[in-house]
Amino acid sequence: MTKCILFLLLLGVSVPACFAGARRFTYNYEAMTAAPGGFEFENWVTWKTSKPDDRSFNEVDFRHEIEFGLTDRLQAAIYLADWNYAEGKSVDDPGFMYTASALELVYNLTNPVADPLGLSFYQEIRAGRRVFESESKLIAQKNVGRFAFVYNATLEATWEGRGLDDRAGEIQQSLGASYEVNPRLFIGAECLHEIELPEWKRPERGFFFAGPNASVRSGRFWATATALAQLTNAGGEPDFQLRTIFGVAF
Amino acid sequence: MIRTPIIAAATLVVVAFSGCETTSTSAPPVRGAMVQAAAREQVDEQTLIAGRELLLRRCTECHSLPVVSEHPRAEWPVILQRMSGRANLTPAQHAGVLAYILAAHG
Repeated sequence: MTKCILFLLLLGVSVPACFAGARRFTYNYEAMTAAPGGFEFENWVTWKTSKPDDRSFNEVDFRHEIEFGLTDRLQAAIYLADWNYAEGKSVDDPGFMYTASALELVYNLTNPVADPLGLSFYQEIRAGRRVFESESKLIAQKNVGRFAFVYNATLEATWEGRGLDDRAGEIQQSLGASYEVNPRLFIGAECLHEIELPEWKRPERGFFFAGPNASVRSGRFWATATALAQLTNAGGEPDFQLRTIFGVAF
Repeated sequence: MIRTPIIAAATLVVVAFSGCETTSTSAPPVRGAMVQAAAREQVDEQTLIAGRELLLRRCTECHSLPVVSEHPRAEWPVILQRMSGRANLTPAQHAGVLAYILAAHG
């Protein structure tokens, strides 16, 4: 019943903007940046459900982002608000909660079409309720005809808790492939591999997710969704997660 | 170990495609015949080169690189008119991309 309500909530949030598309992936970033003067509003919804050690777990994360191109190579984004709804016996504070806001910069070095390999650097600073995070990425991409392949290597540093005393790191790598069926429809797959470093000490066992994705676009609107299943059996990670991003360009 | 297949896949993708030339047929480089044809339309070589660069960088933010010859010459001004707003092209950039496409089309 609860899962049904969460799913309907997910749909309810998504319907107003779900006519169309510009990101091919939801868990991977692409190397190309927005055109200078370009401006886009994105809404993210991520549903995570059922952990190996908590089958009652459900969480829906929301993110509202404004993205704009500053120069031919530099793009900035503001995450106005990240908030979520969570429930389950493993959740400390069930219910709705604001988590953080963030600033992101992406600098493009080479182009995935014109150059042998497209590369970009990404930096995000995220701050909020008892949390401060720095996320750095190297984004590699190659477009070959209708195919696009992307690889992200990410290092994340987190400070959490009342005095931001709890330090942790995370190494993440992700891979995506997408095929342009026609200019309005893209299909593909993504996979995600994460290794947590509590207190920046010995790494915990990594976990791995993989699943299909699809992206549609029409005019100024686009929507992309990825469903990931956990292929490992990490107790604290969800068995299934579905991320959708809805965007409109201005 | 999960890490090994991911690294192997990533390496394969990079190695397999990093040397590929994917633009020579879709958007051929600006060459002599193209420059001469454009000159008859009062378009210089620099405009063509800038137009090709914009085609490669801006248009592919949303879709794969179009093959210039897949649409009749007369259709391109209409297509580009529809697309240039989305790519945030200025009137001068729009004119440069169109000049390149028409020159490449032949």
